[in-house]
Amino acid sequence: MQKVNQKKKDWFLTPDVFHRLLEWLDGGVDSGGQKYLEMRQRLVAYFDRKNCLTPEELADETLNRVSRRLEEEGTIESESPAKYCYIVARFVFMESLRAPEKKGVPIDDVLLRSNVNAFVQHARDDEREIKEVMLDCLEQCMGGLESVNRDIIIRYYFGEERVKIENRRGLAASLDITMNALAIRACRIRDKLEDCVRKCAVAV
Amino acid sequence: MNQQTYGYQAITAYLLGALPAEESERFDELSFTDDAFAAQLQAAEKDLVDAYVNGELTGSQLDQFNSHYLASPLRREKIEFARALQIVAKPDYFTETAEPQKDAAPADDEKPDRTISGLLSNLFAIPNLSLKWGFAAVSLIFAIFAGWLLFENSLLPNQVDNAQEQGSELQPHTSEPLNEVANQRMANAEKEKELARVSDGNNLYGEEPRSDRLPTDESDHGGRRIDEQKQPQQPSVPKKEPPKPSQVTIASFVLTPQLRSSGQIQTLPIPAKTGWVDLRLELEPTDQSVFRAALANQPGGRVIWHSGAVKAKGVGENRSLNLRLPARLLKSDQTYTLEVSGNGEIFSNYSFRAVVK
Repeated sequence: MQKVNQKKKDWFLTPDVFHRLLEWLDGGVDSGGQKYLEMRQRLVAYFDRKNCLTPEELADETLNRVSRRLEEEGTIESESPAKYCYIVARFVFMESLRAPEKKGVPIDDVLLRSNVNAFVQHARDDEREIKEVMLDCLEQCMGGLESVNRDIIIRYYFGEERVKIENRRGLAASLDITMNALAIRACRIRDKLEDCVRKCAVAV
Repeated sequence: MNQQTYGYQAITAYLLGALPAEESERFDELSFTDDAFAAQLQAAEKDLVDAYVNGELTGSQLDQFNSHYLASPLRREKIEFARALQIVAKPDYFTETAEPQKDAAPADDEKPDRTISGLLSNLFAIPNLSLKWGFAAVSLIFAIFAGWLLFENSLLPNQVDNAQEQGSELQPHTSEPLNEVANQRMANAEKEKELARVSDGNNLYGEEPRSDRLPTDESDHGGRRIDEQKQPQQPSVPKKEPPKPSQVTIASFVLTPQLRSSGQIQTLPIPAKTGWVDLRLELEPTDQSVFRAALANQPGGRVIWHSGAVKAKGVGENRSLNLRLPARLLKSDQTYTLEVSGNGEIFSNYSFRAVVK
């Protein structure tokens, strides 16, 4: 048992194994790594919704376990790669709850409330600085967007309540797409912006 | 309650941690296995965050948001991003249009303000860093150029006075050795004084002796062009001297820029005894303030006269350039073109036909 655990700890993701993981996630249609990125994003979001302190690490741990399974057994029998990733993610989450050093923040813990208060206080103290950095980075990232995407993101989020809804209807009509398709498109552009801003803010 | 609305409310409750465990687990799985649900979940989360930023959440939803959603650093980052996006995602943020009204939905074909101030603001609102540096570099170049222009402007009075003298320097094929000119002037000094007393009004030259106003033979009925004065000539005409105001006759005209589509050119009726021809050239809109003019005969385009640096007069769209030419340069029934340039760029051409009566 100790040898198995040691073997697991010594395991690391090699390029060949990573490529096999990409192929498995693609399901036969080369997505250029897009499926991997989407899966990782869903894993991060899942662990984040569970209030795990290190959602990105847990997401990587999940994908490492899937990769190791692929390397050891050559194939994985499952309804779909997404279903299998979810199953592994559940196990990883349960283990994280049992591990004291990786315990997630409980929702109704008093500590949470103090963290929130600390967050609010911290936010008030550094609000101006954070806002300036965020604005600078967002301006920069907006400039890197294609003009049509920049136009979409501005028109999609401009206005309040009814005005915003009307704007979105008009925008969908002008693009000749449904509101749902517009929401998805705007969402993707916003995700790109968020990712860009996150990298920019770290660099500042 | 239709399925979509129920789905949205359930998703919002799921995001706020308010769903029962079994339902929450079902949504967990859907967030992986159902692409459409995953997309809907992402969009709903963004709408929820925007609603919080806009202060639209109230009651239990707001409490749940504060207690559950804000517990995560990653989700708090989304809040900050949404706040910044609300500021930036305004039509006038990058284009400096008028402030949008809260109750008015902007038209789909709404265009940003295109006034000069708006465009200038647009330039400096462009977020691209490389463009910012580019515009800064261009601004610096313009500042240096403006300083040079101011320096040139300070020298203009002297330059204008010496423009005729320096004209031949710019025409390497038509200039005459200065020594030769000086000798001729000296040799003709006395004769010129006598003729100046006798032939009042026939003094065709400017206030100062200039190289392009070499002594002409009055029997030539108008004088010679600069290029004809290469060879030394017999001093058959009086030496130049500054005319007395009463002796100088000036014909003034206003010229407009030559239109490409127009085949007509202006005709300038010049009285025979005219000493100087004053031309006011109406300028096309340009930011240039200092110009140079070159007179060429047509056809052929041979330059026969060249001005120095001349500063435009007037403001806005009513700017003009004032030039003074020796009337003797203009032959009757001859077509000429005045080419106005500045900073190495040709701005306008003014064509006219001289008719000496």
